[in-house]
Amino acid sequence: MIVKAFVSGQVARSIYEEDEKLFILHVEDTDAARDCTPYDYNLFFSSGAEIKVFEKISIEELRENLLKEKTCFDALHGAIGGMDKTLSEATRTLSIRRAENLVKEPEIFEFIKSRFFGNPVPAAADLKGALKLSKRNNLQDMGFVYGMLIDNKDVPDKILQIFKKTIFRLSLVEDLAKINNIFITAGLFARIFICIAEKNRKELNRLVRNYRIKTGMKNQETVISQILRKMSDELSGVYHLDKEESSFQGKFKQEENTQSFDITGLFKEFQLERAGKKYEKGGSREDRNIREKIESQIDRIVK
Amino acid sequence: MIKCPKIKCGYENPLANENCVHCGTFLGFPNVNECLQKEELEALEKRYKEKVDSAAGNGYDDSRIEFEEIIKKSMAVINVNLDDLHMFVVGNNTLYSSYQLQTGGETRDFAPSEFDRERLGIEGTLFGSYGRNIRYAALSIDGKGLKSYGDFTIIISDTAIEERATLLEENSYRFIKTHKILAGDISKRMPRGYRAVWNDRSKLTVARLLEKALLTTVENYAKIVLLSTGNRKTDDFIEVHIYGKLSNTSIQAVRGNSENVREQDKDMIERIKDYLTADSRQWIEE
Repeated sequence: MIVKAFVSGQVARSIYEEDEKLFILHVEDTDAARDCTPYDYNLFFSSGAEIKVFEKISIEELRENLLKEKTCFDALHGAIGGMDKTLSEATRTLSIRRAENLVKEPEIFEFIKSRFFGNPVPAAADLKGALKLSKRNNLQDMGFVYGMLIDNKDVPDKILQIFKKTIFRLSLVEDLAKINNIFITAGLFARIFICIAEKNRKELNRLVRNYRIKTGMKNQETVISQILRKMSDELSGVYHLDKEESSFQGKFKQEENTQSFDITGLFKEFQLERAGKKYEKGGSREDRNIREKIESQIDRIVK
Repeated sequence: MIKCPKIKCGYENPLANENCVHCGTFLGFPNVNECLQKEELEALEKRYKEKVDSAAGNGYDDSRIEFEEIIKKSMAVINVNLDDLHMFVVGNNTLYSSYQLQTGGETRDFAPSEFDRERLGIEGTLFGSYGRNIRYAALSIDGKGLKSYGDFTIIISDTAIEERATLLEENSYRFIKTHKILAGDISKRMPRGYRAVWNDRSKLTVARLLEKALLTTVENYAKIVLLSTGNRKTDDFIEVHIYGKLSNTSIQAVRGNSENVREQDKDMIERIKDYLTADSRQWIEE
């Protein structure tokens, strides 16, 4: 069993610790990993690449995660390359085509949307050029992503501003980077972006109500729900969201793994908890207050 | 120890310090300061002089000078795979890094030294506490690198490293084994005269390789200085230690074979080439 593994899709490698030694594994290594030398270690950690940490996983799981991360970043680099004015038109087209091929896999498409809709558009990004190349080459999925951002260019930035303000108000500044990463990786910023782009208050409310994810942070579910609720209130005001159902539903994957948007199931779970079958009363005063508020909110919705 | 150059301070700092612990004044790059110690310089000079005198005594002075002049134009190269190269040339640009997650403390704070004793042994012996700030490269006279580390060779610009690079006459692992160096106090256990600052690289190379060079022709000098066998255990080279980070601006040129890149990675190689061209840096097709 691997104690700890550092995985980077961007450099297609993992450095992991097993039996008090460090090993390095490349995504294409089919044989056993080799010893990690100072050269490997320093190159990996000084590369500037995004690194994910995994704990207590098997070598097979590590290989699987490494490949997934590498594929995600291949798609991301392709998608960004499409907007990159430094590149020739041929290279930009090649880049978008690569991303388009990879986003046929829904999980990869979710990853691209979570990064593109979850981050402010960099000033250097040429979205219009990217859309033009996508249309010319009939690359529809990437064309959709670029098009959404062109139509709502300032929205990711506004979402981030309100997010930061909310974090500040809730005195969570110390955890800003961690919570920000959770919002991006869980696709929360992207989902909020879609709701605003579609002026879909109902979907935004549903996101706030039904969010749940397990990532190990203390009281995280409560914290994230709290942030979402406050952001939702403010964003709804800023963007004058109505309550019409969105036409976007088909484009947006709602059900997956740890993020359930099945309201009935979720309510049942809450009701069971409230009946004391899974849920122990306790925690801090603040926790209890939040819980009571959530319960009363559920009651109102159920009724 | 190294004395703080600030007149009012003058505090004696350990050689591994980059800044004075007392007043914060920059002391120089620790690897460079170590190589500039009087005993180190004298030992290198002695080894070099012995080789020079021996060559002169045997009528090979011209060949020695020719070899030395070639080494003076040598460069530091780093071999990497395609993903690393893309990260280095393209991925660190703002447009791309804007979409990365922020680095978490868990990654920053990771201290492998407590787990990997062998790694600590070698790096700690050579560099003490600053080992994590060292980037490894190899000395090359023709811009070709060590294929066992990756198919693409990054040629580092001289100006990016001349003040902060030092050389060890062979690969660290082999050096530690050859000289039976034990982990611990570097100043007491590290043999003198086997390291040099960047501008003394010809002296170190002459001290180590002149005899081999005199037995062959100019065309073979490149392979004497850097022998790439495709196997890290049998590669033979002069190791370059660069203090601190390298950025894409540190690149002078990149050498590789873009035709051999797999179809699905073509976009990556084209982005790399476009970026190099845009910054007037060279792509050398192999």
